[in-house]
Amino acid sequence: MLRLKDTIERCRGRKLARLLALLACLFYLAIPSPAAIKFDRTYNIKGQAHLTVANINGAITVTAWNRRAIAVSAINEPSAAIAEQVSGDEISLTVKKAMPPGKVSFQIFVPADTDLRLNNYLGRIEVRGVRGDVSIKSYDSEVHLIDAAIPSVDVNVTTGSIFFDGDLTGDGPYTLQTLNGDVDVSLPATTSFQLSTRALSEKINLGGFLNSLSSENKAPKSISGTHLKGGPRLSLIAFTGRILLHKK
Amino acid sequence: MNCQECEEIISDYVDGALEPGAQTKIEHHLANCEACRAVRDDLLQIVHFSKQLPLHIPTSDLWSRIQTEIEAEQPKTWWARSKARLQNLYGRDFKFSIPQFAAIAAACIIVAAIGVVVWQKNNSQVPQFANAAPADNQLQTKLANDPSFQEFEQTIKQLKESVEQRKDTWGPELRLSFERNMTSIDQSLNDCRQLLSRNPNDETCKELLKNAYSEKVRVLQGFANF
Repeated sequence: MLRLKDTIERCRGRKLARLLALLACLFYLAIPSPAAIKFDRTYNIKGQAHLTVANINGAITVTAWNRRAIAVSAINEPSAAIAEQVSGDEISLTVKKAMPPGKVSFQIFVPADTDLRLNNYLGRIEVRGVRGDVSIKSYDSEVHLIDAAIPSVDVNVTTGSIFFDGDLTGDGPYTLQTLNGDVDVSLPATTSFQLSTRALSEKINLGGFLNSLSSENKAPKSISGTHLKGGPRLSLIAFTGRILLHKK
Repeated sequence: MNCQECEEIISDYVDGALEPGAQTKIEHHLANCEACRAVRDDLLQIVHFSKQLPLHIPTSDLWSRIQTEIEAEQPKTWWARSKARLQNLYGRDFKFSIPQFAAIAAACIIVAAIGVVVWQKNNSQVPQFANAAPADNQLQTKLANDPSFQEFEQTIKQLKESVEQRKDTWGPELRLSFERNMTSIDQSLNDCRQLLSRNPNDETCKELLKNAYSEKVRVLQGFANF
């Protein structure tokens, strides 16, 4: 009888301990993590916006929307501060250099016609639905330009692939260069351009465009030529990776 | 090339993994065959759309679980592993007919003959490598005398010193990224130099060499300013 009583007491004690542990966990989760400080801004735009983002370590995702405003949401570590400079429709966001550098991930929404200038050291860059000029310089980034109808583009990365899916709507130039990664471009069959490709690896695959390209030069490491009426210059450069061009 | 041959190598073609000769042949076939063109376009679409799919990175827990299961399945000691391999081999029932024996013997003779030819060829190539060194030297001298490359080298030297002073303060992730980038660039520079030493008139290679130098300056400038 005494043993039974002891067992019941012990079970009660365990239940209480479990309940206290659960409460402690809930309390811990309820406190906001100091590693996820948020930077939230909305800038109203009157004319054509120019946005510059200079990041160090972290992703940058830019998506076009229908509002005449730029909304920036960044998750940054406590050690990383973001400096903002606003002059009319020109907005510049710079992650301040610190030792060691903190990590910042940007999620940005912009009017479609915004001109973008994105600089980064390390981290994926994605631009979706933008119709303004785009310039991207990074050292270690995978770059994705999706649904891009861009008048001119300049992407230069040292390590990482570049992926372009869209149309060439302006006078260009359109330059995509990576030293260590693929350059993968997808365009409508009806797009006119002047193509220049150079790949040290000799891996150039022009897919369906090959037959409709009036070749000016065809060598293992470089192919150049005119597609349909010619027009903007499309320059694709890869070193160790491949160049892939295909029709949508 | 016929459609069957084309089908066998078309996925390598889409991946850009074909030798230039095979690529020319398949492109010639594709230019004249609508059915194979359709297959190629389908494959390109698949590759293209798969790149748009969101990136799912497995958690570290998953990797450790997979590793644990692999380790659990493998025999622990060298002796146990060898024993398992031998048991595997003995467990098989090998039965050969006379023509099969003849085929195996012929294959062995062919492999041995190829080995001898390759060995002889490699031995005869030694003087050619010896001749390649002066060409490399000539290229180095030529590059060293080219004012634009001299300028690049000088700038790189200065920037490297500045980077070396700051490197320790960057943190491991950025330092690793810098090293990765420099390795990529140096690899590209070496590849360009080697190709140029074989064919000094390769204009594309010269242009790419300049691009790689500019890239090295750009990376060093970026990290030196950090």
